Amino acid sequence: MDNNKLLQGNQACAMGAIKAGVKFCAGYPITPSSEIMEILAEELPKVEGKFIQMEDEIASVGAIIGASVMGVKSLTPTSGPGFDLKQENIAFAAMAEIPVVIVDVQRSGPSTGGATICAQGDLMQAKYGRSGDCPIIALYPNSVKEIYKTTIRAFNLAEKYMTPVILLLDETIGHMRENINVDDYQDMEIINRNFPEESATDYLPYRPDESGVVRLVPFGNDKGYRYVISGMHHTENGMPSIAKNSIQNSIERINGKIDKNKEEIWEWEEIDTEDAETLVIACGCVSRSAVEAVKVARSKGYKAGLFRPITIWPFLDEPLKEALKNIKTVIVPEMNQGQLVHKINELINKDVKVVQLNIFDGSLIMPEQIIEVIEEACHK
Amino acid sequence: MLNKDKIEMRFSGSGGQGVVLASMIYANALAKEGFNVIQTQAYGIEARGGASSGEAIYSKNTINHLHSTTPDVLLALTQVACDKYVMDVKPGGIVICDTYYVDTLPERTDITIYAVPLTEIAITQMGKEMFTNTLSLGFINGIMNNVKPGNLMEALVDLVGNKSKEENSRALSLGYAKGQEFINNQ
Repeated sequence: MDNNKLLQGNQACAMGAIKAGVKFCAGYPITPSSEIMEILAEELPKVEGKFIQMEDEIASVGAIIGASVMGVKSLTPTSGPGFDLKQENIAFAAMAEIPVVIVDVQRSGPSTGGATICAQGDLMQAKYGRSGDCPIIALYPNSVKEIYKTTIRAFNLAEKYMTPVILLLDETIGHMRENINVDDYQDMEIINRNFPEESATDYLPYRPDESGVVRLVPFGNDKGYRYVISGMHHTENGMPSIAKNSIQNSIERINGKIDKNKEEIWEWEEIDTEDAETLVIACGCVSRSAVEAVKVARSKGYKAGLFRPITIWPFLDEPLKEALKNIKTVIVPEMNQGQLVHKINELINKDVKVVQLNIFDGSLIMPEQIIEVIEEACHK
Repeated sequence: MLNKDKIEMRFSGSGGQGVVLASMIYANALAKEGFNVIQTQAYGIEARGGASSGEAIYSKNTINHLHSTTPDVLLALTQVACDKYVMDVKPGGIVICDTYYVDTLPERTDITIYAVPLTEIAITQMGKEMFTNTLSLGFINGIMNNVKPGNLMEALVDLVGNKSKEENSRALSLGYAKGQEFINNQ
């Protein structure tokens, strides 16, 4: 097996996007995400795609929504304060059910914070950064290989469920180089948008199919499908309406299609959880250290295991509840002041002890630091 | 040399000496040898003015230590970099000091120190200081022998292209021979 190529995380994201069929990227440069757009600026024209450097982040996400409305798979990469600026248009994409992928290579914040400083500060913003009950899918890979694969998956989910998907990366993995053989993923399924069967005259853009998902025919089509797209509450024909039932229907539909299909959206990894009494729950770069920590803890005789969410939103409530069954102590290492731990606390039985390890000085949480917490927790 | 499961290499100097590029080239060559490799670099304020560094960690097994905190091998192309990183090196580790810029060698006795005028060799034998990083790569391989010279050259071409290919190849060979000379005289 040819595993002898090194790729940077951000490079793997750009290549995964091309593999997924992306033909448009708009962005505004921001460290640590800039390599993604630099690479796509070069690579997209080779596949008859286009890249535009926009005047700012708001325009960038606006441009990819526009491209997606035309039926083109599109993404915008950003980080920290750029992700803040994109929130309003992400909500528009969620409300108008337009599939786009927003890559947030997290850096230390708030505000400008530190451009090259690793942090996991955007887990909650990914879900709760917008007004209203705004649905979102957010995925968080932890290796260069997984970035490639998960970028493809992000587009598959966006197109399948007609919704924006946030791909969370972190500075450490985005800037790191690691072995990958992209040929291993040649056969990965690529999902393209489904189009309705009804004729243009019968077509109601926001009438969902059985799975609860709407089918938007690309604007500019020559088959006579004409309709309105709006961020306002709307009826099945897309026209704004604030009638009680249209408000309720639109909120229920945009959230319901994700909730109903969450088992398909969920992805996670478990290591040594079968007989574990101490469970480490970690994601992104920190989960790499957690894998090592659990391995070492096992070799020292501690019954430790790891639960690693790859899908962050919708939250993995049922799989995590299952994994927590015989657990006495939960350890949550995070490079923030404690975000994921809030969701974990919601699910946890009060007899279970929750230990937080929060490091937000820019240094990566190392395996040794997690092992220390495991040992301490097991001896108390 | 350094017969262990996982080896951490740090390439340090000051901005402009090409140490990050050197770490990328070596990492690339290690991957060609079939190793699992992680390559990272110091960014930002840390890299400006003071010491700049790149790392390559390699193992036959999966690597989950994403940063090197205690390198086994340290290349120090400046005094500042040497002073900053030498105490991080694992006991039994290797430090390569470019004596053209490193006047005060580390006092540690639990590590092997190779004092070699890399920049001087680059200037006198290659005619340009800019070949110091390539020469260093050859030297490190000369003492460690952990990649095939052909793979190191290929890795270099992958990253910098065919520009100055002949000079780079000569710098690698010069460095390698120098490294071998040190090993044979030990």
